Amino acid sequence: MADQYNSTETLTNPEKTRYSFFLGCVMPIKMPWAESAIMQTLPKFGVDLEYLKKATCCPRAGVWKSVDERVWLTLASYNLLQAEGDGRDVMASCNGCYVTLYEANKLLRENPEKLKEINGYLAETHTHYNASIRVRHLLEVLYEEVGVDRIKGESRKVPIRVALHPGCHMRIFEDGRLVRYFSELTCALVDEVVPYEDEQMCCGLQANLADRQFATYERAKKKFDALKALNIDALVIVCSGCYDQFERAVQILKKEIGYEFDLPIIHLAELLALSIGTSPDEFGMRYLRTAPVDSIIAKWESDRR
Amino acid sequence: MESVHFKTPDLDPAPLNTKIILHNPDRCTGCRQCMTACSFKNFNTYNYDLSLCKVIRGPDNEFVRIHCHHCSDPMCLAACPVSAISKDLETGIVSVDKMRCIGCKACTWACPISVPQMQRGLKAMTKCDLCGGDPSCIKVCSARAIELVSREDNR
Repeated sequence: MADQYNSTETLTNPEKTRYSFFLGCVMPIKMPWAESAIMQTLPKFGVDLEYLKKATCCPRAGVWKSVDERVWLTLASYNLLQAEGDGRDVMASCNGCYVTLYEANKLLRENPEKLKEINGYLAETHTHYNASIRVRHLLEVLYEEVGVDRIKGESRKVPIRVALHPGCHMRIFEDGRLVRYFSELTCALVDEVVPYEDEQMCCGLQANLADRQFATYERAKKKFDALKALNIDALVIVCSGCYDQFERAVQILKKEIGYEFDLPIIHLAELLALSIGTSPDEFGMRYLRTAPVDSIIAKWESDRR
Repeated sequence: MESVHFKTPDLDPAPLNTKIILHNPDRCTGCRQCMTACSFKNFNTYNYDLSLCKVIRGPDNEFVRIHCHHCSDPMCLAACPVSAISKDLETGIVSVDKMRCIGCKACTWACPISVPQMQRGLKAMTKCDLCGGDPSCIKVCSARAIELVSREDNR
């Protein structure tokens, strides 16, 4: 099982926390505010962060494990070796990217024969992966390395009420620690986190492969319906895959049945940036949204006056 | 013409190392990734109708997974008029011999949760065979809502 692999194991160089940020496919295209908030905010908490260069698709483990495991491991290794060459660990915010890179890394570290096979494929590109690095989630970096107490001490809560959408892949560990990190970090950054019945339910992204109607109406819309009844200011996510699905579902539902979902969907890093006083315009918060975030900004500005 | 006699194998006692898929609704997110993995493994396409497992909403709005439990004493096997269904006494896997199956659906009616289904284009029944012992569905479940466990250890 995945959690038998201790992602908090000792670093080769334990006093340094240096990361290559694996953006994934969605974030640079649809969530530039999240990318910018992460890149601006984490260094302020002492995290040494650079972009992972020459990145390819992660690729999606849920698809490629079924289709061809060798493709999954080769592409994932190609991403990981870029960070390894820079002497850095990999950090991902997207749950899907995290799971595919984490599980590929775990498998290759535990199975020398498999690593040898994959290096055979990588040799075609004159590259080699030693499987010597770690893969960490943004939540692990924030919770385990920065710490909730430090974040509380250096930030001021954004005066809003929110609900959470953790996403399926956040449940990779049996002890549910990533979901707990997400909840505790968000609680530290806003006035109130409101629970709801369908919080655990999938966004529907995976279902698009087989049935887009089901993905849109039986997953995304069901979640939207539950959220609209909560009288909250925003839905908080960290997963780019989930955002991709929600963003698409908002457009499809509006076009097909005139359904309006006007609740802003925001990234945890945006809350972190706002809470330490970063202006919304410094990370492009107003643009490329599924719904305007003006009400959140107004409450933040009012509180900062 | 020589007559053929089909015989139901003696299934008692159940072997001690058989594996079954156990579903935990408390962890399931209803993503149906298990269903897409199943349909791809068996039919090379992503099609919920072809998946040999199903994830649906239960009476309390929880996610319920319908899959073959590879019963110790399978009703499908007992109901089959042509002995097309067999249970491997070593692995516990219940499978359909599609060359023998006449597509009468007696197994579907006999199964308490109607697992066996008609294979599209073949006119023979099909059902989960645990992918021969290494189920594809379990590999893709990030939420760890399904796992392959020993039947005996989890009674």
